[in-house]
Amino acid sequence: MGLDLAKTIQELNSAASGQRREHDDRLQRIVVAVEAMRGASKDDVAQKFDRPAPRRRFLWAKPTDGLGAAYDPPATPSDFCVLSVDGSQIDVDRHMPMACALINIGSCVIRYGAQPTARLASQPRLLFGEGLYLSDPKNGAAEVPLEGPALGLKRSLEEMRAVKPLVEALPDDLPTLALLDGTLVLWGASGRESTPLLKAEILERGLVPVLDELREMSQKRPFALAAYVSYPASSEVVKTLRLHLCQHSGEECERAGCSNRRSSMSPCSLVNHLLDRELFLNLLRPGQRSGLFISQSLVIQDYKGHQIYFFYVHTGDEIGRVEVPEWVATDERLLSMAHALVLDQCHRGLGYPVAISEAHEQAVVSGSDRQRFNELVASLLSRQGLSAATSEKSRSKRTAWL
Amino acid sequence: MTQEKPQRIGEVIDADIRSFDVQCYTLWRGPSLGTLVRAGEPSVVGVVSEVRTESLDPSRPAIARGQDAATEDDIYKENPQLTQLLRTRFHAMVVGCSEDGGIRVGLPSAPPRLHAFVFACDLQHTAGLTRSLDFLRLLLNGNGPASDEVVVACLRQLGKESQYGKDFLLRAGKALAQELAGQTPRLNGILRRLA
Repeated sequence: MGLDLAKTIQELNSAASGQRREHDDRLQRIVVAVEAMRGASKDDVAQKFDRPAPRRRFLWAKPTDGLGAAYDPPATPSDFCVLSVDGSQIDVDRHMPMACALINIGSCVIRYGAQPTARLASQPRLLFGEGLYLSDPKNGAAEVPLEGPALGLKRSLEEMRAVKPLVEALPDDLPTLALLDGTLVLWGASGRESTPLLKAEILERGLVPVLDELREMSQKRPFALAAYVSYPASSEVVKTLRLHLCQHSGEECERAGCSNRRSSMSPCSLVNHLLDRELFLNLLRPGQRSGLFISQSLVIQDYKGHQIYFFYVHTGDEIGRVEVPEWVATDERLLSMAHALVLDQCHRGLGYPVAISEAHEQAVVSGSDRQRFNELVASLLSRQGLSAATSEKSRSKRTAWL
Repeated sequence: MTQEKPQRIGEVIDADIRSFDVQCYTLWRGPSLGTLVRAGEPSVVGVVSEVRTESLDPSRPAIARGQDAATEDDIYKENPQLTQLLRTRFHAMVVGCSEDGGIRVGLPSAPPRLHAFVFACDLQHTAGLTRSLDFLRLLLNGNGPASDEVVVACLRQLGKESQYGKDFLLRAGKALAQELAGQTPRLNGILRRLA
């Protein structure tokens, strides 16, 4: 038997009633918060955030503009290209007869204008044997198995690596935006969940050289890199506003028990539990983007100078979050291009960038693909005269009986 | 049907003894209804009974996109990926197969292989079929309400080929009269379309 929805419905009902009760209060707080953002000029925030950065227990983002800044959409070029790379994976399954994983990289290159064309492709890559480990070239004994979150990081790196050859195949003078799904911040590569080797392989020897190459390319051709999040659940700008409103010291906040999720003091409690998208849906008009914010994530410290900026954009249907590297954020021409083309992609894609969704379609590994992959592994092992035995647990999941 | 060089149209993507499905290499370039095509080697000959252009992925149906477009071409210009996500395919009803250097009317002993190359039939392949016109029985007994339309389309195409002589359609009419004895309204319907 699966999930008993009848038993869950009471709790769901109660949760929905709670949402209803909070709804009006939330709407009122959003209106006040948006007014506070509009009142936070560039000078105001510079005064607050440019001094030694305030230290708090929550992740805020450094504004480069007034919090209420809004920019109209720039004109879309007549000829341009948007490309996207996305990946999916089959993780190592210890119940399978052979240890292996698979990364499938899908790509989509769409050229618009006088010569409209599209190229869709996917490239699977099997990881097995030594390929299933990240090894330290200086210390053979140190290694990280590529499974779980580490495999996800490897996949994200491969997505980023796939961008350069796709751009190089395009005409030098064609305005081009490479759009990735999600974020440019590889959260798991740093911090408690990571290891020094994983961090070095994924960031220092992986992502950083790739970003260096892409930055170099952007100096020779009109090329921008961006990552897009639809319906983002982030609250970094909300936290920035909270910090802007806060009239207390960090020590007072600590004593009062202000947590990452909420403040227990006024006036900063105004924004408790709000999301960035809720503020920008009220602040931006369709097509407009917000000012730029600089991510303060600790992971970025290992990006070797590739600061990650982000802005929000009102696509007409929803608020999307766009992350760009510093070399895009500080180049007005590239930033405008990223803004215009993200918007254009959302319009063409009925709310979501076409290139990302097509790259995803190329990359996606469905449940039946996974099953066929496992069957293929077993079949090829058998042909080699090797055991294709799987665990009893795996077999019991596939064949349920009474 | 008179091309000197065989024109490869596409590949077999599904097949059984009675019919086969072909994916065309070029979008929108499917053969016309009633065209005689051959698949694989030894050849299995079929008559095109349906042509369709559809989404490559059945879980992603096409949606209307052109409300603000001035022309139909603008839709494709503004959405260049569409041509990569659509395919043109056709269904062919089997009417013959190659045997002893010629074409025999009837079903083959095995369907064409998947991915078998498909060509428009040339005179060499159609001559065997048109001699006796027995293949019409297979078409007339084919499933679907449009089988008479397929017969009409096929005979019209063959009738345009001067090699079969002026009396070809007359012979075809007589063959149909034999096959549809007792089905006068149906016979008349087909003959009116052929006249």
